Order: sequence, then C-alpha cells, then structure tokens
Amino acid sequence: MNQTELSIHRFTLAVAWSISILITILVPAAYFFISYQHLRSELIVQSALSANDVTDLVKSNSALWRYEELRLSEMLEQRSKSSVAESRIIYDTNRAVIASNTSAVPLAHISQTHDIYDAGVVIASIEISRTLKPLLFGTLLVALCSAAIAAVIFFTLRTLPRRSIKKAFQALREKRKKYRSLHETMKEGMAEHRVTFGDDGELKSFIIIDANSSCADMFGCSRQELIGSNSLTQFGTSFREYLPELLQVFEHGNSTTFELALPGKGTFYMTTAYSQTPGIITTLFEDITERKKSELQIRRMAYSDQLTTLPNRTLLLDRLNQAVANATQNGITLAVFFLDLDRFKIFNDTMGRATGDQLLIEVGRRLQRQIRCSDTLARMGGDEFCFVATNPSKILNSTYIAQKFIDSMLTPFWIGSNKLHVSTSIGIAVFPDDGIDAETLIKNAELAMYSAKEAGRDMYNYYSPEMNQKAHIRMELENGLRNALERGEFFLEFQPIMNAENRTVAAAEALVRWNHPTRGRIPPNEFIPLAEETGLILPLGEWVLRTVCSNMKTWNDAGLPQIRLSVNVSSRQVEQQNFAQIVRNVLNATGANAAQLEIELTESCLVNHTSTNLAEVFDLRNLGISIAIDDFGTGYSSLGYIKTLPIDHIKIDRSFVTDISSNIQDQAIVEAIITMSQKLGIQNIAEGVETLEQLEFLQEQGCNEIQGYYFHRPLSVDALETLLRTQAELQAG
Amino acid sequence: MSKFTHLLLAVLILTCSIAYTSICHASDTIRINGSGNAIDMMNPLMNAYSKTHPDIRIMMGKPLGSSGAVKALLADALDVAVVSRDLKPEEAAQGAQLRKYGKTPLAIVTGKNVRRSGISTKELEEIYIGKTSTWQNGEKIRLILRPLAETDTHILRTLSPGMNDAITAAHARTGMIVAITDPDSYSTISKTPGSIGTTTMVSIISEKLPLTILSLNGVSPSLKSLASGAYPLAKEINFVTTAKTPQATLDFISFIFSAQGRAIAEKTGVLVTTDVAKGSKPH
Repeated sequence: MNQTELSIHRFTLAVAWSISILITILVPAAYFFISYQHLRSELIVQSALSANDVTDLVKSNSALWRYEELRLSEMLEQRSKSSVAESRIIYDTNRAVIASNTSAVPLAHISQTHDIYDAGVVIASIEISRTLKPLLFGTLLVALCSAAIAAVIFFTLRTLPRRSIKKAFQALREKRKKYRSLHETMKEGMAEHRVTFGDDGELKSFIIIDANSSCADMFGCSRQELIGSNSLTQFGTSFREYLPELLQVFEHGNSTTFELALPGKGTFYMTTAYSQTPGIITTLFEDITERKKSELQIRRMAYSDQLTTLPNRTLLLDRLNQAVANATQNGITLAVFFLDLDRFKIFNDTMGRATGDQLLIEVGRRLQRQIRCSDTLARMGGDEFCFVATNPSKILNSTYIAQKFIDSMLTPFWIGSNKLHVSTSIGIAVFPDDGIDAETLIKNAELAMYSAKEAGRDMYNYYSPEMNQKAHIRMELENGLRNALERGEFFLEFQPIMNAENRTVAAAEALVRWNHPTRGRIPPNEFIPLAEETGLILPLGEWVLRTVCSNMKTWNDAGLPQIRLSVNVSSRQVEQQNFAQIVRNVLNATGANAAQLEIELTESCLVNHTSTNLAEVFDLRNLGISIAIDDFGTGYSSLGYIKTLPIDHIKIDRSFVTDISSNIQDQAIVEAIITMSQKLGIQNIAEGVETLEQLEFLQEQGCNEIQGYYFHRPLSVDALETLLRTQAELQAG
Repeated sequence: MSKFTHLLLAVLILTCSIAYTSICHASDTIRINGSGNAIDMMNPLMNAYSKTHPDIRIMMGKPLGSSGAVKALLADALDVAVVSRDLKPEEAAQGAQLRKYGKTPLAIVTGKNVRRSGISTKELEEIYIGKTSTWQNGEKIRLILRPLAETDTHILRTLSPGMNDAITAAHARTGMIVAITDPDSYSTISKTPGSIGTTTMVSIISEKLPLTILSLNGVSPSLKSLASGAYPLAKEINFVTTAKTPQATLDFISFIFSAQGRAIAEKTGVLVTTDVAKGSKPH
C-alpha cells in the first residue's frame, strides 16, 4: 500500500467513522428528545384537564370534595393510554394525598403537576407521572436501527471506496506492469527524450532518458548506451532534420509523424513523436524497411515488364510525357520507335510459349545494348517494343537508330538448341511533326510499323498522315465486318477441284465473299485476317460450314453428282473448345453427307498436333469427313505431323506451282511433295494451276487433283450447280 | 382610644365570634353523609327527628359514597357515615365503628319506556356481555354500569358466575355509560331511553323515581322477598361512627335505631335487620 493509497484509506475511514457515530448517537437522541417533548406536552394538557375536572368537583362540593373518592378515582382513571404505567395523585397543599390511582410508576418517569384552585386559592394539585419505559424502549429500538444503518453506512463509506481504490490501484499497478512489459517486448522502438532550453530560449539538450530493447536493437547499440546520449546524434542526421517538428510537438503537446531513413543501414522507421509529460518527448519507431522494400517492388512491378524487366507501357508513357514536356519547353525533338517482331506468332505457335518468352527476353536484351542509358526502351506487350530517343538532332539519327535495331536482329538467336532468325519492323514518329503528345506519338509510330510490315517486313518506316487514313479505313472495315453477318452481306463461291485424269469435278473449295454495301466486294485477304484478329472468324466460319452443308444437301437431293465440298478452317476455329461438336451439330441440322465434307487446315493449325482439340477434329474422320492440309509447304517446316496425323489430302501451295514451268527448284519441291504423298498414301491437290504447261507437268508427276483458273475460277452457287448438272448429264449421256 | 386599641378590640371580637360559632356547630349540627341510597333513606328520618329536635341541624350534602364518607368521618369532616358495606380493616384500625342497620333490595330497573316487567339472570348476562343489544320493541339496550369498585357492582357480581364475567366484559367494552354515584345511576337510568341498571328500593321509594322495576327470575324486589331470601340482591345500610362522634349524633342514631326510626326506615324500603339493643351499640 503506497502513501497515497494509505492517505485515502485513512481519510475514508475517518469519514466513515464520523458519519456512523453521528448517525448512531444523533438519531436516537433526536428521537428521545422529540418524543420526550411530546410526552411532556401531553402530560401538561392531561394535568390541566384533570385539574379542571377536579376544580368542577370542588365547586360543587367545596367542603367535602376531597372525600368524593369514587368521582375522584373515576377522574384519575380516565386516561388515554391505559397500557402505559401512569400515576395520578391529587395532593392537598400539605402534600398529603387526597386521591390517587393505583398504577405504580417506575423510577424512570416524567411528572407534571397542575394546581387546583378554589376561589383563586390553590387548594390542591394534581400530579401526573408517566413511565418513560416505552420511550426508552423506543429510543433503544431507534438506537439499534440507527446503529445498524450506521454500520451499513460505515461499511459502504469505508469498505466500498476502499475496495474501489484498492481495485483502482491494483489495476493501475497491473497497467503499469503491462505497460512496462509492453514497453520491453513491443516490436516498435520507444525512446523518451528530455528536452531542455537555455536561458536564451535556445535548445540546450535533447537527451534520451529511456529506451526499450527494440529501440536499442534498431539503432544497433545497447540500452545503456542509448540512455543518456544525445538524441540528435544517436538517431542520425535524418533525425536532426525533423528537429523543428519535434520542438513544435514539445511546445504544443500535439504529435507528429515522419519517416526516418538511416541510409547507412538501409533501414526506414516510421517515427511518431508526442509529448504527454512536460519536458518529455516520446518517440515511437516502427520498422518499415520491409514495407518500403515491398512498395519499391510494387512500384517496380507496376512500371516494369515482368518478362523482360524492361519498363512497361505505363512507365514509357510517363517518361514520354516528361520527355514531351521537356522537348516542348526546350524546343528539341523526340523520336518514338515502335518495334514489332516479324512472324513472332509463328515462333510462339511452333516452338511453344516458353520459347517465345525466352526469345522476347533475348530480343529485349539485344535491343537494350543498342541504346544509351538515358533513353527508354519499353515492352508494350506481346512482341511489341517501343523506344524513345530524346533529342535526335537530325532525322538521320533516327534512321541510324532504326537501322541499328534491324541490324541487331541479323545475328540468329539461340533459344535452347533452337537457332532462330528474327527480324523486326519499325515505325517511327517524330515530335512535334507526328504528334505533340505521348499517346499520339505512340499510335502514329505503331501505324508506321504496320506500314513497314505491309511493305515487306524487316524494315523501318516513318509515319505519314496517309497511314492515319489507312488506319481509319481499317477501323471502318472492322466495324462493317461486325455487322456483315447479321446483314447477310457474306456469300459463298465454290472453286472446282478437278480430277487430273478424267478432268471431271472431284471437289469444290468453298470461298467466302463479302459484298460491302458501299465498297462492293472486299478481297478475302483484307477481311479474313481482320476477322481472325477480331474473333469474328468463329461465327463466320460456322456460317460458312452451315451454308456449305445446306448446299450439299440441296444438291444431293437434286440428284447432282456427290462431290467433296471443302471448307477452310482457321487455327482460331480449331482452338475453339467445341469446334468438333459444332461440325456434328451442323451435319445433324442440315442432314448433309459427312463423307462429302472436307475440312482444310493450314499447317499452322497442326503446330500443336498433340492438342486435344486437334485430336477431336481428326476424330471427325470417323464420321466420314476428310481432312486436307492447305498451302502445304509454306508454313510449318516440320513434316512430323504428316506421319502421325491421318491426313486425306495435301494441297500444294500455289507459290510452288506458279513458276513450276520455269523454276527448277519449284519443280523439285512439287515433285518431292507429290512423291512423298503418294508414298504415304495421301492424295495431293495442286493449287493455282493456270496454264496447260503447269497442268501437264503436274499430270506427269502423278498429281491427283487440280485446282486453278485453268479449269475454273471460283463459281457462284448457281454456276457450280449448272456445271455439276452438265457433268451429270454428260456422264449419263 | 388609640388606633392600636381599636384594632386589638376588633381582633378580640372576631376571635370570640369564631369560637362561639364553633361551639354552636359542634352541639347543634349533625353532619351526615355516605352511600347515595343510604342517604335517600335518611331524609324521612331526618324530617321526623327535626320535628322533635328543632334545635338540631342535620347537614347532608352530596353523597360521598361509603368509602369517602368513612374517610371524611375519620378526618372529622363528618359526624356519622351511612355506608352500604362493612368496614375495611384499615378503617376500623383508624377508629371507625360500624353499626349494622338493615338492607334494601337492589332492583334491576329500566326506563319507563321499556316494556318489560321481569328479566332472568341469563338475559341479564347476555345484556351485559352485549349479546343482546335491543329490547323486543327494537329499542337499543343502553346499559348503565357502576364503577367496578362500587358496592352495587360487587353485589351484582354475586348473582351468578356468568354475571360476574359479564360485568367484567361489560366494563371492558368501550363507549359504555358509567354512573359514578347512586343518584347519578338512577338519574341516568330514568333519563336514558332503553336504559337498564340497578338502584335500591330505598331510592326508588324515597325519590319516587320514574323507573320500571323488573322482577328477577320471576321474583319482584320487595322487603318480603328479600326477607324470605327469594330475592338475591340486597344492599346493606350501616352506620359508622368514631369515638369522637358527638352525643347529639349518637342521639340521632339512637332515634334511627328506635322503633319509630325503624318504622320510618321500613316504609322507605329498608329491611331493618338489627334490634334496638343491638343497634344502640357499635360493632
């Protein structure tokens, strides 16, 4: 029990005793006094009344009144409280008893006397004595009750406050203990500083007077070393920088928070300073080093490309904006280079995504070696890179940089055991001529890149306003494509595939055409890639399949020759999860003969020839559907799939057929393809046959089927129907 | 004559006058008091005696009751006390001497408006207990009690054990009418409608009281029924004197005890039970 607790205890005890004693004594005393006065008053009245009665008796019998025993007795017996001992005695002037009642009054009693007069002379007196026993008994009861109440009050005043105080002090002690424990075990460092000022008001000292273990650990010293040392030197120069804020805390009693960095240790502390005790400042140090690192990491992640670690699009935009602002202010030029790897998709598709990713990393590294440290090279996504060259003083410089990039790709990349030849197409936009803001510059550089791609790839191209117009046209085309299917703007043409031996129609390849409402017929090479790019190829491909099957059913029902009808299927369609099921549904819905249906796949579709989707497509052969490889020889260089996949037809690409009459290499390739297919038991079809020489050469080599203008251009549905009918009639005739 | 001589003469004359008055009072005045009923008996006796002794002045004030009268006698405030009980030992010890004379029936009486001629002990008990509270005509029964110490109460208690208890119960009831003295009693009974109480035949006869006397258990209160013992309630009439009793008083007492006196007394309802010889001597 400490001194304060003891003092409070003594004080409450004294108060409790005083109040209890007062209650114990005063209440019964007051009761006795008041009751006594009341009794006294009652006796005064009683004696006066009795004296009056006796006086009346005296008046009626002045000589012998004193002997009227019965009357006097009756008078004396007449009293209000018969249960209380009371004596009434009439005395004569000699104090001799004239009459009395028989009640005996104990020693403790109260008496009241009243004179009895006859003709104004006192002839006797009546004395009424009443016992104080009931009053004393009542007083005793009141005293007992008061004592009981006083005891309760004493208990309440003494024990309860004492208990509360004890609890409060106990809680305080526990709190202090807990605080101390917390202080010692808390993760945050805590230090208390005593601040003193000189007479001139200048800071005199800033001394650490207490610090916990965490604080000592944070600053790499012991508590003993910390306590008593100068805070401004102990906590580093950064701490001194916040001295004005700390002194403000000291003056105003508020709090302040700041980040304290200890560069030498690479640590950061969130420091909160507050002052609750005059002259004392408490600082709490929370180690936020890890948080800072995380923030840095997050920032890095937010602004860099995860794959190549190059700056990403966001950071590039940020830097480009800064560069544009700087260029605007200083009147200098900027050049934005937009790079896209040529045919990267093929690498990705054929070699796998991991190889593609590794290639992108290597390309990023190689490009980075071509630039200055101060310039920004970013990966925009996919196989697109962007480079910002600040202040290329002459246009030549931009050309030089672009060429440098192109040249840097000449050396093949080794990804694992694969040697990959990569080229890039570059678009260049120059500030301020090609745009005055970052977004425009990037967009125009991209347009210029597309232009370079169209111009043959592996080259650079500067932006020109016409490119913008081209892009606009492309956008319009895309919008039109989205609505074309609903509007019924597509239609089919069929190019017959002839039997090389008997020159009859063996099959027909369905070719989709788009009749644009304003631009007329749009070439397939314009809208098919666009449809693939936008994903519209999926509904369009299904429409083609459904239309071909419907026509097949119609022609079969009409009794026309049952030729194969082949449908081109893009890799996007094959990648579709339920493509095989769609084919089945269409066959069921139209009632077409599956054995007449042929699906033409490009080599790129077969790259991942182990995929489940492709297996399902080849499973369609079980229905009778045949599979043909379109544009054979132009895509995937591996011929592994030929022996693993059950292919029905190989379509020799027109690029090999065109110069077949004069080009020995083409002749060799075509011969090889035909020979290979024959040995593998695969039928072959030559595409793009336009001349008799080409036909004869192919016939000589044993080509099975011929497709090309030499026989037929793509025909309308009606024209093909007529052709088939004619052929039927000829065969019948 | 000086002023002092005049004053001395006046004092002397006054003293002589007082002494003379005192001597005359002692010789010619008989102071009598006592029980109310007994006093009622005294009036015709006093009248008869005064005719033969005109010089004797008999003073008889408000009745003091037996005890008061004996007390006054012993205090020399009376010459003779007429009481309706025997002496108490302490009274005798102080020199009081009793001369028994006779007794008078203690009658149960009602007011004139009560149409009853008789009552039984049982009925009386029920009235005193409060069990019976109305007369037959519906009138409320108003019981006139006497003090517990009074002789009438003692006599009535002897009627039966039930009556003894009934009296105690009646006194315990609140709001009861209690007549202190005999005159108070018969006066209250006569004035109160539906009343019932007790008084002596002496008082009824001598005071010509307008009361209805009830027969008790079929026996009317009379000297004959009293003498025969048929009527159970009687109140004694005795004389108390002291050794100091003046001769004139003793003479008057002798008259009372004489045949003439006895005859007068019997006319007023007293059954004289003592003879001449006995009556002349105190017990």
